[in-house]
Amino acid sequence: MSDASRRLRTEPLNDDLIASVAAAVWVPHRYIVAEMMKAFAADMEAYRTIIDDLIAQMTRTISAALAGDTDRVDTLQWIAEWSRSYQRMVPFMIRGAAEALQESLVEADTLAMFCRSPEGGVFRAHVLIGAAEDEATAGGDRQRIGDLVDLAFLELCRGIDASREIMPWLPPFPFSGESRAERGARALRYAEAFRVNGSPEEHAAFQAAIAGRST
Amino acid sequence: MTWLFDTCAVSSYLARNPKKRSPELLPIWSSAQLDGIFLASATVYELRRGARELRLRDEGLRLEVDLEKLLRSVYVLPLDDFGGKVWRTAAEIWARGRTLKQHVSFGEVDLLIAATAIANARTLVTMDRGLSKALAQVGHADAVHFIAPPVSES
Repeated sequence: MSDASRRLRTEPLNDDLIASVAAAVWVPHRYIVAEMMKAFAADMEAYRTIIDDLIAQMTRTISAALAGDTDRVDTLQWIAEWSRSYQRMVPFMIRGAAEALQESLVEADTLAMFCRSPEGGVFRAHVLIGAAEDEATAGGDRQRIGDLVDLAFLELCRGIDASREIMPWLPPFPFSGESRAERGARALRYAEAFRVNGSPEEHAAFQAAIAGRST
Repeated sequence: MTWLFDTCAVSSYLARNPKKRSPELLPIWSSAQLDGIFLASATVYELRRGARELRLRDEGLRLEVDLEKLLRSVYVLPLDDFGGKVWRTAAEIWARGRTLKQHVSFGEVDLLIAATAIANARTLVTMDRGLSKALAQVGHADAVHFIAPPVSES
């Protein structure tokens, strides 16, 4: 697993690399999760506490490495909130889940397909955020940590959207206590971030694509 | 007033170059946030395709992230809810346009966005003069709030 993380921290980040690393990590990951589910089947509260602690630790470590980059710390908050929501569903998935995990995706072709599929997005996000945490722990490259966080967020979006038919729906907005006005204000802040974060060339290409023009 | 923003009104609001942002648009966005920002699913398609094209060219990672966060913070009105009311409204508008003495035609995505606004009793904020005029011709002048594009755009 450390080799997989190293690849994500050092090699050019693209879909092929992410899918390949996810496929390499799947078997040990599956084993660890299945063993955890067995161990905590009788005490899901303890399971949730451990997962919450791991998510909090991940958030602290990466946030510290990204200090001052408020947009990316916000993106990390989305990932953390969604991860917590996802884990809260575990009690509803636990019955037979360990066995299903052990049996699933044993064929290399099926596994490779899953690791490239939209449904595999949640898993890819998990792998990416793990690499971001490793890079942050090692005091590594801030830009790479930010890119890993951004990619993890997009993979999570893709995975959650694609999984709507096969699992309980996670709310699209993790900050569930907010009023409409607070949510509207947040939308405007993201619009402002969109304006300042892209280069003029990127904005020109974006506007052209929306309008169906070539640049 | 309950608004629904057309794609061009979102695109203008998101423009990096201030000259491409219509000053008339800003107070509408500000007031709309109190009710939540509403978009049609067809607009989400148009915005997302722009971000995806960039990413497939290995550009715009942060833009795509910001756009996704924005899209997950607005309210998206779908095409298929309520027994296909939006589709039915779109078909009605399209047919009305065709039966006028001087035919009025619509771009398909423009029509679906306008129908989403009308079917959900929201006022469409658009900078598309042609769409605004066409909707008035088929009896939906009240459903549109036209904003002139900034001078550099018009």
